[in-house]
Amino acid sequence: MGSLTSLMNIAQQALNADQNALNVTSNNVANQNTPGYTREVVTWQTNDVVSLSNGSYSEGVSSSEVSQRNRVLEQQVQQQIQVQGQSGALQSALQQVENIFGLSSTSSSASTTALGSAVDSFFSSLSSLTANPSDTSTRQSVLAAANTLASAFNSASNQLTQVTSGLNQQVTSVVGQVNSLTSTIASLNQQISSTSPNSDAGPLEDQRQQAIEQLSALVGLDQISTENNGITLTTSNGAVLVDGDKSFALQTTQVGGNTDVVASATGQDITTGLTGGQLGGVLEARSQQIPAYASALDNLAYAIGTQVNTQNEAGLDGNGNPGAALFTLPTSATGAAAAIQVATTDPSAVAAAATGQGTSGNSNATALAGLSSASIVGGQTADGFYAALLSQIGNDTAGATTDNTAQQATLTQLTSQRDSYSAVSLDEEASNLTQYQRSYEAAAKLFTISDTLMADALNLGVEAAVS
Amino acid sequence: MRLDPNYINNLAASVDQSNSSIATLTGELSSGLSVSSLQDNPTAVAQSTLLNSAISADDTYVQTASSEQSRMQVADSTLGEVVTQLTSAISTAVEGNDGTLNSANLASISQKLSGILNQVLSLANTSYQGQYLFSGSQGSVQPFTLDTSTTPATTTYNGDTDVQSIQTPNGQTIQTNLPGSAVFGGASGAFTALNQLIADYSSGASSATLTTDTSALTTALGQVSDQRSVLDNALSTVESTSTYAQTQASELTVQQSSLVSADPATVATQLSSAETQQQALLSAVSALQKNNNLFDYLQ
Repeated sequence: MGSLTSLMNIAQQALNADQNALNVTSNNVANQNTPGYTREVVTWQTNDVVSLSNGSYSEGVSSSEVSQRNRVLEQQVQQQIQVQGQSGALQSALQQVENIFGLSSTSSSASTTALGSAVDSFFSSLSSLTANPSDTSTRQSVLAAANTLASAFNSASNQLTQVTSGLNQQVTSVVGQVNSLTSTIASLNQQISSTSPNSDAGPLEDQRQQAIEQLSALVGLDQISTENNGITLTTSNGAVLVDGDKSFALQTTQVGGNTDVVASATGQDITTGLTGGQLGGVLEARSQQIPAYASALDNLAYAIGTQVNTQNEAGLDGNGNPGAALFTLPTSATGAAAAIQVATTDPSAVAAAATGQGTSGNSNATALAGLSSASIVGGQTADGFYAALLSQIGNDTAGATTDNTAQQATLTQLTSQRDSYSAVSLDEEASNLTQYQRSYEAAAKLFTISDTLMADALNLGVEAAVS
Repeated sequence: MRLDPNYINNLAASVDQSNSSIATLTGELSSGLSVSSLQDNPTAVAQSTLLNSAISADDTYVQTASSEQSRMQVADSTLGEVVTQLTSAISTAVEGNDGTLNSANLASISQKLSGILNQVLSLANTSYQGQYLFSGSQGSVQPFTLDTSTTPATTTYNGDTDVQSIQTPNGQTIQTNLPGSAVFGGASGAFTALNQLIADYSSGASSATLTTDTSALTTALGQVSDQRSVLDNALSTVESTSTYAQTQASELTVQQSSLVSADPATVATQLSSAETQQQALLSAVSALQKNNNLFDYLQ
């Protein structure tokens, strides 16, 4: 049993609830393209029944909104973003290395690299020397080929160093981005725990999840939900990034020419074991693949240089004196590719004759030329070793590309799954809009009717003043 | 089940992929290479690198062999001239030994033989491109010098006995020179025999001595001819290995091409189907983008 007043009240409640529902729907439509926005769904609750003097009165309806968010799907997407971030960064770093050894076709070869053809030309010039050991121009061409070889090594090594320093710069810039995101997340943590510690925080939660997603693209994360709707974030190797309303910045430091990452909370270097995201990929390329390629290049340069030097010193040069070293090298293989230079510009420095021979002796030149088929590095010939290096770079790059493509496809699928739950569908909003519109009209009609009834009651059935 | 409202974004990724495969195929067609970067086919790149060095070694050998051949042919024709001279010396010596000549005639035979000796001496001292041919490895040292102060005159060999060689890409060693001592020198050599013969003719030695001297000269001629045939064999070996290397190089080039080159017919077919696919994809995407939702129909 109710009263006319309560009738008006109910109508008013209905109008409020419908207005709220219309607001929610328009909010959804307006935010359709906002990144990280999860659609809100209106839930209706009947207000509590009030019992008064043997009568019960219900107070109508109220509506509230709930964000359609599935935390499990969100986390899956974030984890996949970390994996794909790493594979993407690794692929792009390896592609830069691959470009150093670019293939081109020349008039004499269908496919050759600059360093490969320099090595071949050098040994060819030594072969030509065996036929003409005393000819100055043939000797000059040996020096010219040696110069080409040395500068090919220098260039490849320098480009590799440039790739590494580019990766180091990337580390610095990613750490900067990570720091700004973690402080955003910390402040969102604080706002969320003060405004809605026990339930989903709606738009604030959207922002927090969006920030975590952006952070996942940069570095691998472990998430822990804490009390009062907080989230604690740590890196994959345990360094704390966000704890409640506090964020812990990462810093960079120079270690052995490379930029390493340090957790400012503990002062510890956390570079090894840091995986996931762009940072993980860059660090993987910088500490695993690229040093292997650089040391292979150094070994090749050092081996060719020392073998040629040793053989040259075993013979007699163009003036009949014992030969000297043709290449200047560092004392060990490290840095040999960047440092290798030709030691002389004098064509008679090439020792074509063996000890005891005269100016047309070519036995030492034959021995020098024979170095091309001798096992001088890693149990392989120079060409075999170089071919193996190219093959390794190619395989690593191809593997990274395939991996990245697969991870990208998985990410697309998971995002699609998450969006099918949380994204705004215009059709759905349109039909809701129609429904709430009709509902509002009905409630308004109810209000009009109860107003008329009220007037009738006031007039007590007599047609008079109030209408 | 609710559909992902943003599925059109996934189609953008497909269009991207389609574009990139068209770009790759077009690149292959224009460069003629199916392997344009290391990751396209790492094994093919490695094999191609090894083939490059083998082809380069073969090509260099062909050039090396050709310049060696020129030198060896000069040496060979020089020796041919030496043989002619020595033959003429022998016949002169034999004619002069018939016992009918007087001392004036003998003196003139001696002079003729001296002339032949000088000819042979200058032939033995032939140089090619600034290096003496018959000095062993001492190319800047004149191989033979004649000292006429003694009787008989002495010829000294100033070179060494080093035998030079070149190596084929397969590791075969081919001799490329003849040390002068092997051809002309030694106690049984041409110079010793000639000097002795000249001295004996000048001094009016007995017929028997002259006969001995003449047969020594014949032996020396045999020595020259033997060495010459060694050189000729080496020369023909150089020619045949050079031809072989050329053939090898061509075959390896063909092998390398088949490894890394793109077959235009295959690539063109793939390109055509990729373009068709892209057309279909683009028209599907554009049809979907006209996608109406319920809002368009609400009044």
